[in-house]
Amino acid sequence: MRVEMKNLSKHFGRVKAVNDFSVILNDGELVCLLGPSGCGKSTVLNMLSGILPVTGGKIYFDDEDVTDLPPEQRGIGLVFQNYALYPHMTVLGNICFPLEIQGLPKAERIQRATEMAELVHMEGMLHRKPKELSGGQQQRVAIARALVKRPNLLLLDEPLSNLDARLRLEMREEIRRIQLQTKVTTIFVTHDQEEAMSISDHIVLMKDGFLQQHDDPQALYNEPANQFVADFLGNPPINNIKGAIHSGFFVAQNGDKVRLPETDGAPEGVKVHLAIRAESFMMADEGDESCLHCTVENVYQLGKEEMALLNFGDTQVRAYLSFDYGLKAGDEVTLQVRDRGVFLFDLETGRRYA
Amino acid sequence: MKQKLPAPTFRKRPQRGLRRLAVHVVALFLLGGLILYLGLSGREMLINHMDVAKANVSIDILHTKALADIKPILQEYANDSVNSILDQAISSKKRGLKTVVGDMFASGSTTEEIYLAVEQAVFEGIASRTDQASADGLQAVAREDLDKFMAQLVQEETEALDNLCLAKVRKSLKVTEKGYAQMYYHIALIAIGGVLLGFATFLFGIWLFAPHKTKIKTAELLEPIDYLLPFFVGVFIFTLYPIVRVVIMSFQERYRLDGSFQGWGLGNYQYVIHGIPGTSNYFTQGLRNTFLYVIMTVPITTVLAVIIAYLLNQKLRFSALFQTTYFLPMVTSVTAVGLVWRWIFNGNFGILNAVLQLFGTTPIDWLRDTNYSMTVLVVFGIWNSLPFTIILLLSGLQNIDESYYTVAKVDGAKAMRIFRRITVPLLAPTIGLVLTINSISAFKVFTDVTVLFNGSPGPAFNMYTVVYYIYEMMRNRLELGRAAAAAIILFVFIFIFTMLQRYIQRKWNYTT
Repeated sequence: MRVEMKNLSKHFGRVKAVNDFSVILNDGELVCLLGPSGCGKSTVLNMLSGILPVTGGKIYFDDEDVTDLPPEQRGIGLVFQNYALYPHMTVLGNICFPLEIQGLPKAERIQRATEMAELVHMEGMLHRKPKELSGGQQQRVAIARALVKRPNLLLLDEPLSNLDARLRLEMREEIRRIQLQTKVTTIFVTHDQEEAMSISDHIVLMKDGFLQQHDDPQALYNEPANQFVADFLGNPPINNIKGAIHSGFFVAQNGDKVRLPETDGAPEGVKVHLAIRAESFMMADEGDESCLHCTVENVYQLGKEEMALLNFGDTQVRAYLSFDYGLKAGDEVTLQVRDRGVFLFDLETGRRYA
Repeated sequence: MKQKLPAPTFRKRPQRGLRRLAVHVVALFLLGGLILYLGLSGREMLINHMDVAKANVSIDILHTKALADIKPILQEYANDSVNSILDQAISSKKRGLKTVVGDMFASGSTTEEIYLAVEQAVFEGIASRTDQASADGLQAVAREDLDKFMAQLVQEETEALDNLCLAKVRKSLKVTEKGYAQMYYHIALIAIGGVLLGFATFLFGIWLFAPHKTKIKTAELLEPIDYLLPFFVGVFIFTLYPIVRVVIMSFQERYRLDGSFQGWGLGNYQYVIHGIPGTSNYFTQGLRNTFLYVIMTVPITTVLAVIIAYLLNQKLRFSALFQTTYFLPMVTSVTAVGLVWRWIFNGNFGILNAVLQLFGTTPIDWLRDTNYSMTVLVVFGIWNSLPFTIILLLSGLQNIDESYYTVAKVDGAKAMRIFRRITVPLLAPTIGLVLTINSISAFKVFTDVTVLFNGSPGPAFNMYTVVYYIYEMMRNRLELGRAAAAAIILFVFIFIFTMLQRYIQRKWNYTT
């Protein structure tokens, strides 16, 4: 099902939780609503499910306007962070409940619930109570319950936050598998960028109720629309160096220069951030004028690679560097930046120049 | 300007463990000694007191006997008028004599001295009631026989007093004796004092002979005991001891407030269960009434409370006002409110009849008609127990996570189904708790009865409850043993009932 949100907004009194939010989600996609806490992503989810009325704007499912439809008529499945499994019902009872509400005969209910349990690999535990299940298993049951009535849209509200790191990894692959198998349009709310990057077809990044960027994960990482997107995605976080533009060069505060392939209309002399991904550094060639002079503060061994924590003036810079150089604390190094993973943002507005 | 701080001086820190141990030894010695002294001196005083009482009784008997013996002897020599004087004389002296003998006995006078005092008093009594001449004449004629009689009296009195002394030596007291109860406390005090002193000695031994490490360790062990002790003393005196005492008392037949009783046995239980044959048994009536009350009030209260709590939890308009209204009974006195209810139920001017009359019902004398006594009591009881029940259920409702409702609503469930399939099952643990608490307190119904029926068990003694029976047995009839037996029977009923409830509700708990 295609989901369209048009100029959606939600105000709680004077607090504007969602502002002029317009997104179109394609049928059968898994889309992540990503953003820091309090950015309005759960509000968007609640408006989609119909739990919260909208303040302004429209919601279309396929081409039907559902803005004023009550939750039960929208055909959605909902999974909460705390799973909200009914503790007094068995796994089977929980999965059957939405069908019971629809008034399906018992035999059909059980048959469909069992199918769903098989889909989420819970067929062996149908008669257990939720408290006898692990967090991951409860999550599977919650997904099965949300899917059993064959919804057009599956909404997952931070579904992995209550799981430990290893289970989280396993469950996010499971969610992806189930989604691909059922081909249901899915919206997945999370504040974890790694989670969002790894499983979604598209990511909708939000901040303070405003849409920041809607794109596929790699595009979001490679071509951030603004300073916030660049800062939010990526681990270690992107390195920002303050400076200004002078005749095709980025000039840092200490006078170091970086040659820019293109300045895309960045006016001469404007104050900018040069944002560089940690993997976009390399050792400078001898005699190159485009270089940054840094001091090594610390070197972290990360198994397959080595990350250096460097001081560039009073800015801390994290960079992945090869083992070959044998860096240690206190060393002076001269770095160069690659062409990829380097962006130029306006210092004040955060808008991107290049 | 920065001022230089004086160099810190180091004092050798006293070893707190050792000091604690020392304080304990001293405190325990003092406390144990004090309690032991109280127990011993109390016991001594009680024994003396009881010996004096016994001596008085014996002297009393001796006097009566002496009078009986002397009378026929004197009658042979004197006319009837003299006899009546003698009677008066001896009986008038008796009371004064008893205190004299008691005092002498208590101060350790010998049997002979006491006897002489008795003899003299008897003759003084004779002398004071007759003129000297006839007294002399009387004595002269009766001298020979009197001497014989007095010799006999001496012997008897000596034996009697010897027996008393023997009793004093044995210091054994039969349980049926008066003062038994007090003696119980003195013995308990002596025991406690002894244990404390023993413990103090033990600690002192450790202080003297044990290695340093053990001393510190002992002192550390003492610390938690110090903190627990005040609590345990309270629990022991006000909870544990009364419970044990009631159980013991229920087996003591005809137990009196002074601590005396006739003997051990099941008599109290038999009396409580069977009553006096041929009269109405108020205990079984009370049991029946109590059960009826429990069976009617508890389910109705619970159902009403669930509904009201559910509605109050809906965040309706004026919900705060409604909450205040429903919780008002909790902060008002049952007695005061009972008076209001008496007015509501009043047969002539009552508001309830006034309302009923609007619908054409003939007025009912709610409080005096025995057919309606139970109805009135149940209505009042429900009204009384409702607020607390609502509070418990409301907190239970607020513990149910909002997401259950959201998911159900998104799945299309209607309010009724959500209430039936989600709210009620998730509230089940709280409902179970409420049922248990309410049945226990309903089993103990008493105040409601007293207040509604103006201090009597119903208009025709038809509204006895078990606790009312216990109250009456103890307060009005001073039959402590029977009251205790009834209390134990009530306890057994509540216990069985609660266990039954827990068994039925064992599957109602879904939390964790």
